[in-house]
Amino acid sequence: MQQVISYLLKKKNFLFFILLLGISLVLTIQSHRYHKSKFISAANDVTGGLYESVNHVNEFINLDTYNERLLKENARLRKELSNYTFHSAASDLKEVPYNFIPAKLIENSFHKKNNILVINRGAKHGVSADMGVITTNGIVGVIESVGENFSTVLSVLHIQSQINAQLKKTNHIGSLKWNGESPFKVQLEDITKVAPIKVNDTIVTGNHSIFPQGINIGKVVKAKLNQTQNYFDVDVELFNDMSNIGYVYVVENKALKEVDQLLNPSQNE
Amino acid sequence: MNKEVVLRILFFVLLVLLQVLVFSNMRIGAYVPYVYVLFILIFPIKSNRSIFLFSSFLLGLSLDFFYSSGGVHAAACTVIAYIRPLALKFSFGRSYEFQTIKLSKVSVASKVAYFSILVIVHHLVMFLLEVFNLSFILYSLKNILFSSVYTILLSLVLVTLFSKRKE
Repeated sequence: MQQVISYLLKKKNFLFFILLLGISLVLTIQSHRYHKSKFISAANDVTGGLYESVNHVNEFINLDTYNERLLKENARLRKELSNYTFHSAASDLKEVPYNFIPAKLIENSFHKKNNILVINRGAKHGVSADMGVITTNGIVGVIESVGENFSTVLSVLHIQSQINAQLKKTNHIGSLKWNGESPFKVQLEDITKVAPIKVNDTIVTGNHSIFPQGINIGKVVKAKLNQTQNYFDVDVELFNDMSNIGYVYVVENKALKEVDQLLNPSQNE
Repeated sequence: MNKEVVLRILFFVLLVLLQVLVFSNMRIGAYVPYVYVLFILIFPIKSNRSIFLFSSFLLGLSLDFFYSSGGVHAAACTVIAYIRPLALKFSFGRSYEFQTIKLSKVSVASKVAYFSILVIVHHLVMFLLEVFNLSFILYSLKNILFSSVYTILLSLVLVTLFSKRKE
């Protein structure tokens, strides 16, 4: 027994090292799993607060761009609104199943393989995991973990990101992934070969997703049949400049919970 | 003694802040220097090994919080803290334990060797764990190579600057 103890004492640094390494590996493996609330994330007040205070300084540089973007969006919305009052009853407005929470991106990242962004809205403002994040131009990502005042976003530029998307013209659906190469291009998979896909076609979000249907994503720059000759491999150029995002909207799909319950009744007790 | 501990803690905080606020933005292409490993590189040699391991782990963990990266940095830091004696022995010779090494006084070659070993191992562990997928091995290797070179150069510059000021 004494020998065992003295052996352990002699090796205590090694054992300590193994313990610490074990902890970090568990945290790493946990972070590679999607749909898991994360312990290590920047969605807490210390990191979020620091990012936000730095962002105040950076923001001035981009104010012009953001203003212009807002003006354009306002113009577009006004145009749509004028159409809307002409053609449909105002009571439809109440049934909109989406809620939009404005937020500011305070930490951007686009040069890694696993890009995680931070926004300055959290549980207090009604943000929860798996909500979509969009800008005027297109999609940004999906809420990953939520803190009191801040949340992290799994960018579309993340090799585990997977988003339901479709062709705007014909409703052929596929899934949007990222191969990790260019921060301006994502890949659309599983578009069947019968789809009449052409360069410059617009890709929008599909209907079985956390995003509202028809949010812009990007345009096709290259489409070719894959090895099986049954599906297209499509390169999509994002409408969003992921290196300069600024302000975003978090989309809450109020109907999603109900749909989930219908699809997996066993999981929701 | 107590003053030294306080200074070291301040250095810890300073390096984390510098890494997150400054070095993260000093990107060249897709390559970021991870200069915060300086804390581990120039940690006093004759200190308690367990404390050294634990503070390196904490350093990595703080970076993981900022980068939302799980335990990638923590793992890399723990590994290089553990293998540091080997790197010291390799670059400064077996006698490093008996004399105090001042980084300003050792030869450039051994300094470069010492920094390179630890930085490359750190980046190796970090980038392999970050992606966790062998199909991106080329990306990882490229990143390990270029980021390491960048980190080593920047660390050497910083160390030279600061050790000169002291004299």
